[in-house]
Amino acid sequence: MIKPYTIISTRQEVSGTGVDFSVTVRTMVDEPGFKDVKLSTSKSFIFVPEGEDIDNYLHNCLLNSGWIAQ
Amino acid sequence: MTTFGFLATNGNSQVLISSKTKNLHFLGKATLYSTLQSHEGRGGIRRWAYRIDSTGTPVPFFSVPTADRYAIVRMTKVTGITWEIEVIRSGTSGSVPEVYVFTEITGQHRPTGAWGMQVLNEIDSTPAYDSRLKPLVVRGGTNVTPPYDPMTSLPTGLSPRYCSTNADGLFVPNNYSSTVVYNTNVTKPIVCYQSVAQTMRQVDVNESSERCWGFKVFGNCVGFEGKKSWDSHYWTFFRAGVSAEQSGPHSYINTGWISVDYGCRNEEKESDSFIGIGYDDDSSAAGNWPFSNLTINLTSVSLIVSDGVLYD
Repeated sequence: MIKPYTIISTRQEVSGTGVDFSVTVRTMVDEPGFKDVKLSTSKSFIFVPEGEDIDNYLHNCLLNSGWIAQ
Repeated sequence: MTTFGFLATNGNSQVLISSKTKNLHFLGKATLYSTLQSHEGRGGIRRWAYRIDSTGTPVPFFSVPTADRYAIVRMTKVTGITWEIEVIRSGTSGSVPEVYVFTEITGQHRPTGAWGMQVLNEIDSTPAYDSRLKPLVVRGGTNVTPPYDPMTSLPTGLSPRYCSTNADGLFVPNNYSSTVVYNTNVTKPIVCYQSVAQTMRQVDVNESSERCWGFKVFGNCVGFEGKKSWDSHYWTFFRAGVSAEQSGPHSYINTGWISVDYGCRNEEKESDSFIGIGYDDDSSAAGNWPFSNLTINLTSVSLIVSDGVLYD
């Protein structure tokens, strides 16, 4: 499975893990006269409570927040 | 160890009055001095400064006229005996909290009657307790901590170009933890709570485009090629705060976050080349921001509940 996000770094916090991540969307625009490659990258942070799987938690959070589509 | 003095305890053997300690007594309500901050977005931001003259060190309590979160964020002696107390609140209500100030007994306290009970401190014989001076009645107390994250979802739809998105509705602190202080039996809760925890959340959005005026051979542009990128860094800074609502005999406390500062920084970069030969400079950046996406001082803070009607 190709993950639609990249975990940049993690750090241990009280009762959980802090996760810095990024999501990149690549768009090709092909119009007469030029080709356009557009990259949109968003970076932010979430806190994953202790006992939660980091990938599942982040994926669900991104889905629920609309950062990525189903 | 002294063999004389006075000690009154409650049914749980907790000290109510002791000649070994000093009790806090009501000095008065601090006066609203100025409104320091007011913003309707990001969950609502209000910051007020109150002032009171006190020869002793004040211990402030605030009333909670709305269901929003409140906290004391600063208390300083501004001049002579004048103290300034800063209170923050979430929400957009026009209601302003009252600030009740308690201190040890000083010459400023004026007895309301000729009779009552006075306890002297056994060391220096100064008044430790005086029933005529409206002593602080503690109706309940607990320790509270806000959750690590101020928001339960991520801000979305932020434009990378020129900070052009109004993020007021996107950075709303809606996450909190709940505590019940049982059997406080107060009519008008007043709360002593100092904000200690702080947090900051930031979303960085970038858009980059490569544009080829010509044609591409094996992915390379033959002709003019332009690269452009836009960055916007949207951020909000929060302080911990509490709401307190009375339902029946119990006080329901929610500990969450209050937005106190916010902003956005944007950058734009552009580079051009002709047949693969660049004629414009690139730029680079590295390293960490000093305080980004981090929650600090996340420790238990004591909260005391009293009843404002005893002092109105």
